Amino acid sequence: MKKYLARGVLLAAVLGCSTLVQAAPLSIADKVEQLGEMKYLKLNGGQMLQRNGLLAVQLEIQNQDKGDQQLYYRFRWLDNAGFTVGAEEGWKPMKFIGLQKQTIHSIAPVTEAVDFRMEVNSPENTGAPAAK
Amino acid sequence: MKTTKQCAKISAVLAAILLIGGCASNSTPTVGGGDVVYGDSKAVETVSNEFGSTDLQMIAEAMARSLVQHPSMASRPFIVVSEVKNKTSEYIDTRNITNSMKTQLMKSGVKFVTDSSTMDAQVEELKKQNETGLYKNKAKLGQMKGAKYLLTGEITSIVKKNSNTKDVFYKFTLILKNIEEGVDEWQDEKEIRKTSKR
Repeated sequence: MKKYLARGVLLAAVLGCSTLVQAAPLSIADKVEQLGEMKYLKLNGGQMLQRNGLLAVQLEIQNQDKGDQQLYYRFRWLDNAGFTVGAEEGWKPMKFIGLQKQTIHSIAPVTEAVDFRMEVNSPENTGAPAAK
Repeated sequence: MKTTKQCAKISAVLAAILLIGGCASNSTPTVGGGDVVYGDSKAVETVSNEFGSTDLQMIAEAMARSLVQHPSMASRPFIVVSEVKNKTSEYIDTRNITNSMKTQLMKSGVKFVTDSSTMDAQVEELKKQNETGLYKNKAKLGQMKGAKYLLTGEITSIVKKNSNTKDVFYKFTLILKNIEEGVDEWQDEKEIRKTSKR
């Protein structure tokens, strides 16, 4: 009787675990936090990889306007528990001439960083929350 | 028993009290007349085109991130920070830049030994511990670690003006030298351009 009870508990545990929904990994675009919707500066794509034990990130941003645009950005690095690691970064300015594409590289400051978020701001932002 | 009219009056008075109470500003834990406002220390500063906080932050971050991924840092060697020369026409406290870099590098695991700015204080403390006869557990003489690498550099600027524009171009160069071998193991630079209307 005890043997059947133990097997029942084990089966219930396995079935319970199998119904846990695994969160889908975020795409690079989801890791970019826009402070207001970016009207002209768009993320074309990006990639991240481990290099010499540090997380390296590369993102391409394009100016879709014919005039100059100003971007301010900074990175926030996260460990595998989602906690922020490393000191708060300063905002960095970047100028885009009309229709220019530029690549932003960054390396995490510490080996604990396994993920990132990039905050971006541009004076041309609409002020409304970015549409998802 | 209150009439409907009396109830409406009481409700109106209560609503007015709530509205006024809601509009009233909360007190804040501050002292002073409100002329001073705290800002974001990480914000981009565009007050003038002279060397500023954003330049310092960008240089320190770029140099630290570049150095930390160099293969020579894998063995966590000891580094000593030497003077960074200011070759611009402005007053720039280059110690500020190296301090920020050192802070970031230390958080990444890089180790530094005593440099000229703190050597006197350290020697003074060592002498005090060893010569006064006051200390039971004293720091031993002759135990300091020697650095393998020297970190040094310079900042230069090029200033151009015309009738309506002033352009300042800064270039910060940092070098990691192998002290024993005299070899430059790593070098990187950060360029910043600031343009303003005159």
